[in-house]
Amino acid sequence: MLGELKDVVKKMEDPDTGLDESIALYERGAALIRECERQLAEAELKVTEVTEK
Amino acid sequence: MDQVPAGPGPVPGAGILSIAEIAEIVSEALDDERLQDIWIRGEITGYKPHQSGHYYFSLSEDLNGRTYVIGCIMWQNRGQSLDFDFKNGLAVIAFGNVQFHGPNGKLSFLVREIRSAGVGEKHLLVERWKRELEAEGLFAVERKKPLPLFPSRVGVATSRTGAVLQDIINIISRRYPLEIVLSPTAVQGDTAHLEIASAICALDGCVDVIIVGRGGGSFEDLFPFNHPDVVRAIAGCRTPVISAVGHETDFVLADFAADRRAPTPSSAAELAVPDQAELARDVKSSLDRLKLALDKRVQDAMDIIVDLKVRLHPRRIEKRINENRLNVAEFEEDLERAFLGKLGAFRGELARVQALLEGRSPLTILSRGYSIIEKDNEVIRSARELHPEDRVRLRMADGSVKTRVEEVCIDKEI
Repeated sequence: MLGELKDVVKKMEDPDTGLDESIALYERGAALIRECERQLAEAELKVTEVTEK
Repeated sequence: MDQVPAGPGPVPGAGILSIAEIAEIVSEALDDERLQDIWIRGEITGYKPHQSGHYYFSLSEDLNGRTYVIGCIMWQNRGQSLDFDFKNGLAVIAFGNVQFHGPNGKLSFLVREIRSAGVGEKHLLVERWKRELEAEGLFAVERKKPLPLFPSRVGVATSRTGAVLQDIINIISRRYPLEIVLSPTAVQGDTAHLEIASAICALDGCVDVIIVGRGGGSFEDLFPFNHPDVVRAIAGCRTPVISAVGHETDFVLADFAADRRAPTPSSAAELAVPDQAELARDVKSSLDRLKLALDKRVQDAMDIIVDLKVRLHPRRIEKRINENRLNVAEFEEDLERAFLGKLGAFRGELARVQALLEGRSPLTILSRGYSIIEKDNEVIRSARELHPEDRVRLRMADGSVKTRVEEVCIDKEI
């Protein structure tokens, strides 16, 4: 997801990207950022033990 | 006469050798590859610590009721890196040369390397395993799998009670809390290698990355991690494996088969998960760049619109119209010029025709002295039309005369 975000940013910074596309990219990027932040915020430690099959 | 002992026996002559010469010959005789750079096995005897720090002792062996002994010397610098407790009665293997020391007339073994026999043999075994496993290709660089950037489950094969697990939990909870799956195993002992191998296999496929670890210990403590069972279990994993066995300076064969070797369990944990704070900074900076790029894009678009607006300004249109007007005016002028030219030509023509016409006008003829005769308001063109006593009018340039015909003379037939 971070990889896609980096791609979006790179495309956004490309001067050849049109305005309409830029706006779409921004929306996509903002959604990705929200998702990344959500995942980061929701991370919590859990320790389990492997169960023999 | 000299008293010479009777009977047969050696007689001293010119060939008497000095002790130094003997020492030389013995040394040369010992320069035999069977006695140089060799491993020997024996039990340490007669050792007591020496002030100099050098080791003077013997290695002995009991065989068939007899004891064989060889004196040994090991310099102090070698003794500093011993990994076992050097004491009498310990079975060891030693590497070095047999030499003869002239000054004290003793034959001894100069030790360059010494290992506790059990451990020493294990070292040799590890070296053999290493060659074999390497030949099988288990250490090949091409086999190494990349570690996942964003794992969601980290497997740990180690002791349930050791500090290793606690270190890993601490680091992971600080960097990026996620699910840690423990596959508990003994990490030392005679059967530890079997447990470790099966603990690794139990994790394979259930987690995104596996850490195999134990804390620091002696060579023998770490020995199970050299075992081919463990090495093969690691090499056989589909899941990437990080090895973290002992301290930074300890190397085990498991390290060579693992996809990554971490110097300590803590650094293994750091390799296994990304840093949450760093990721958050990354995401934040992505957002900043996105905003900046969008702002710039919008600004660019606005600049374009402003530019277009300027280019569409009324003054420009006016200018364009004026330009067109000028063109029209020029065209008009051209047209007029052409027309006037034509008109001039017409006038010339007209004058010429007029002149021609004027030449034919009766008035012109009258002014030259001719007159027109009319009778009953009709122009008389022939003398035959007139008779004596006819009343006629003579029309001249400046007036007319009424008169009477006296005589008609016909000159000729026309």
